[in-house]
Amino acid sequence: MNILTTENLKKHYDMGEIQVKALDGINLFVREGEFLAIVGTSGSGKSTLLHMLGGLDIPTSGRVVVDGKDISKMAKDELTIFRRRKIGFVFQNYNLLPLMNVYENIVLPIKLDGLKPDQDYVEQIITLLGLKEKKYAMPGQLSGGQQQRVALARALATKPAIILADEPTGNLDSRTSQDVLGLMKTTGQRFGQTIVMITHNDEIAQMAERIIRLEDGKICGGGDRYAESEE
Amino acid sequence: MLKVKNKKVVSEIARTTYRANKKRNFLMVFAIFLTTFLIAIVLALGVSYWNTVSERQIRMQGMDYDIELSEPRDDQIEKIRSMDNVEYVGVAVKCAMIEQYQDKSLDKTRLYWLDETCWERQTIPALEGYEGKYPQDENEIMLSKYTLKAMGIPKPEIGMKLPVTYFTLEESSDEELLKKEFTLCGWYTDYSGSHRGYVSKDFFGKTGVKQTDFTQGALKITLKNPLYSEKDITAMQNEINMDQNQYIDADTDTISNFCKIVIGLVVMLLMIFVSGYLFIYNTLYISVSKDIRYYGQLKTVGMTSVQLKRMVYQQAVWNAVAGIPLGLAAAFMIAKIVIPQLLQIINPVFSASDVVSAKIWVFLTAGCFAFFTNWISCQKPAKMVGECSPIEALRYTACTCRKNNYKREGGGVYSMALQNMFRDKKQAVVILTSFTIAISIFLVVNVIIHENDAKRILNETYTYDMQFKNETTLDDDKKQIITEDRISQIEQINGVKNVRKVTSAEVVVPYQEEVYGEYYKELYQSRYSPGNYEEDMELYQKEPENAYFTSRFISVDEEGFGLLNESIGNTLDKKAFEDGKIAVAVKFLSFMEGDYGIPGKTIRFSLPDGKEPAEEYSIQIAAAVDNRSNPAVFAGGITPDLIVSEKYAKKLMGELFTELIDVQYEDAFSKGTEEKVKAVFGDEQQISHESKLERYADMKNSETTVKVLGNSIGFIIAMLAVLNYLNMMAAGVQNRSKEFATLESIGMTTKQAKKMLRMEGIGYAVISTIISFIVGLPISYAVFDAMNLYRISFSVPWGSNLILLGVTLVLCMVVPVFIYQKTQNASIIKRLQNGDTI
Repeated sequence: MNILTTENLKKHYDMGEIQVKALDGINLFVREGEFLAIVGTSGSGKSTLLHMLGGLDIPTSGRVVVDGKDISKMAKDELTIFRRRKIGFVFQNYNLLPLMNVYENIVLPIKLDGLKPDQDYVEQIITLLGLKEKKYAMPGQLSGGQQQRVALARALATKPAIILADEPTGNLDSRTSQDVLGLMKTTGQRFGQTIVMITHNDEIAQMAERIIRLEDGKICGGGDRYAESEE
Repeated sequence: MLKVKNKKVVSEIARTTYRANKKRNFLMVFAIFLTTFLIAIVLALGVSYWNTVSERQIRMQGMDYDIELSEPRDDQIEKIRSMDNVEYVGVAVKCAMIEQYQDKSLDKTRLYWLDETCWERQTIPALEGYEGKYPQDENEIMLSKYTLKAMGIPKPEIGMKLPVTYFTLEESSDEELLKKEFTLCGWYTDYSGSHRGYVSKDFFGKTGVKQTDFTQGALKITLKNPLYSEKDITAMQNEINMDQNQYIDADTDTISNFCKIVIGLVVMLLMIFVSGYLFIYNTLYISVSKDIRYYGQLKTVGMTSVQLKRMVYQQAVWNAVAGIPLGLAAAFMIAKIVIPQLLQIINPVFSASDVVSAKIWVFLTAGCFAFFTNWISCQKPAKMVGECSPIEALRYTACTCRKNNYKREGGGVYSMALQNMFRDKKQAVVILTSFTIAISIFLVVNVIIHENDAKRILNETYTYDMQFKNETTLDDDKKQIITEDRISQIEQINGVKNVRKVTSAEVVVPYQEEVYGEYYKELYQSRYSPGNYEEDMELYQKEPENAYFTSRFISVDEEGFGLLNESIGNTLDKKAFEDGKIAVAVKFLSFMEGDYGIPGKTIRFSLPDGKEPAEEYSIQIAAAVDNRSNPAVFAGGITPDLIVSEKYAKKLMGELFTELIDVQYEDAFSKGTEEKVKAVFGDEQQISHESKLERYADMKNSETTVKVLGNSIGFIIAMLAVLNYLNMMAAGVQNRSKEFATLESIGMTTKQAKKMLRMEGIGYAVISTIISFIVGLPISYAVFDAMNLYRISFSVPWGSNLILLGVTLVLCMVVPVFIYQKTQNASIIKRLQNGDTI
């Protein structure tokens, strides 16, 4: 079953007299529980695609359907709530809130949903990601790898259906990168989550089950594997 | 070292950076504009307000001089005139009193002769205005409009004939009534509320009164430096060889009062300056904090600290060049055009041309202050820019992040709001301080405006709205004009709260040394000694019924008792007073302090007009009050008057003679009620009246100016408080653009973000309000006390303060949300990518 599909997704930017086609008719199908990597060179549109998938940016045309819902038609707050519950984001530069400690950063999306964090589950993630010792540390006290693990824990905390990771290892050394990716994969499998990761690093991409290659805003391989089965 | 020519490139980068940050520059220029405007307008309006209030005070006194010498001799006048510290001296002599105009009895209208200096230099400046000229011919007279109104002449004309009955104050004249037809040669308006008029030198000469006559003549002295000490007065006294009865009336607290006022003003000005400084500083600090990563980047590519600092200063100068002239122009427009126009709209007869003293120094001060503030405010951010390492700068977040672990498991919207308020402690302190100062200034200014409100001053000095006096009270053929009928007629008028009745009769108090002995001794030793103590006491013992020794038997109703009791600290036993067991004695002179052992003693007296004229009664005296607490106005002889209850007086007197009534309205200064109340006595010739509303009406012009200027200052300062907050919030929200995007990306809805901002706003408003009250109220009291010219009681104008606080609270809740809505509408990813550029 496809948890995420895009239909003829386009994102065009007007830069003076030139029109830049960041995404040019993307049709993508992602199955539930799949670990997908999107690769491509710089400027190929992979980040733009990820942002569209997570509703962080608005497409020029086309549809993004997550868990059966067309997110491109949602109102702003509706989309935010949907994202809070269904999608977890991991950014390249972590985007942790500097005023909150590790624990607070992790549970913030749950609290924003007006819920009480499932302490067992949160503790489980914290332990799994090796953050137990740093539970009350402030982001400024953590190394890059630790911060990225906190970002991952935050993305996992709400038990989202999909995790979207934008170059999650971009700021990390190769060993830490392996650690973070390994954890991502383990947790994904353990909690039955779909992972869509973008990277420009082929080696990293190899850890995914499927790789999609993007060039000039178009998929040039791997994108339509599950298209027919869905139909 | 070789000199590197890089000024040009630094300037170019500064220019490019400046051009790229239009919104931020706008906030900076706006901050400078607002500070310049505020300082200039507050100075301009403040000076004008001060002048108007001082002018009104002089008008309430009726004459402008520093000290006064009683009964001056010619040699003394010459001597004083030649003294170094004396600017000029004027002579004023009270020479006659008008009793009646046509058939209308008047309150005693004093006629003075003034010499040229006294009229031109000491009296004219204390007048709101005058028509005509000072009397030259013997039959000419100039009267106050207040007196003319009391005569029933609301629209006087030059040359009109005024037939009056008067007596001269010549010592041997024995107050013999004379008739004369004066010609009105002019009239004037002041705010003294006293019945007064001026006569020519010829008339004065004919009265036979001399400037050296006891209590009649006075030398009004204007000093070069109005700040004088007791020592100066003593020195003057020593030089002029004063007679025994002469005295110099001077306020020896002038210097300390002046110091108090100066301290009050300095505190106010300091607060305004600090507020302006913090405003500019904070905006600049936020602006540089936001740019710090950018500066870090410039550092990484090789820009030095000096060059970066230069850039910050350069941009600050550009902001100043744009903001200061705009602020000055706006202040000039408001001071010279808007406020005078407003005054004219409110009061069309007003000549509003020079109301606001928009002097050049005001603008220069404001301009220089804003420039230097801007410059000083740059120091800290420039230092910040210069000192931070490139990497630190690249990692910079505008918050004071904790260094240690913090075991906290919050994270909801409320706890985020709280953390956000103090995320950058320095900035939080600056925001709260500047907000607190602005609100405190408003509190202080408001108290001053409230203090100088003419209605309030009059309310504090008048115990009634309207007083009707029976002018026949002391006549042999006195007439009961204020009848019970009329009193109940007034009581029934809609809008009348109560009517206090004061009755009086002559009382004969036989000589009783054990009761009043000490008091008489003191009285005869005073400057106002009525004569020879031994001779007079001997006469008193022989003829206690002599008008010179008799006094008044005054009665007050329940309301009147309340007022009397209040004036002496509620020490009287109401029941005992009602039952006629105790009375209150009124000392002859108001300045006589002490009770001379009178309270507790029993006095014997008889009432010639009472039921039993031959009967001698006795009553215990519970308190001795001075004349200010006396509800009656007509005086008896030198023996203290007795105040008793109406019930007791009725018992002894039968029918009581009503000397006066004090009418109090539901709404003070109500025109409608006043008209109806006045109509009860219609054209009654022997009734004079004193009205608080009429006194207020005379002060109208000055009051309009005081109010418009005062309220404008209050309004502008309130605006500052609000705009200051607005600007800081705008900068703050824009500064956190990336954070909002992050929060949104992990699921914070717009609604939640707005809620968080609202909570932050409420937090700032509540904290600064609490601090403002803790800080502002004591300062208000201190400033109030320093400037309390009319000895009125302290009260806080809660109404306007609550309005400001309400508006502040609403704005604190609405503004951040509004700014958020206006600035955070790009897509999340764009805001994340833009980081902290606007």
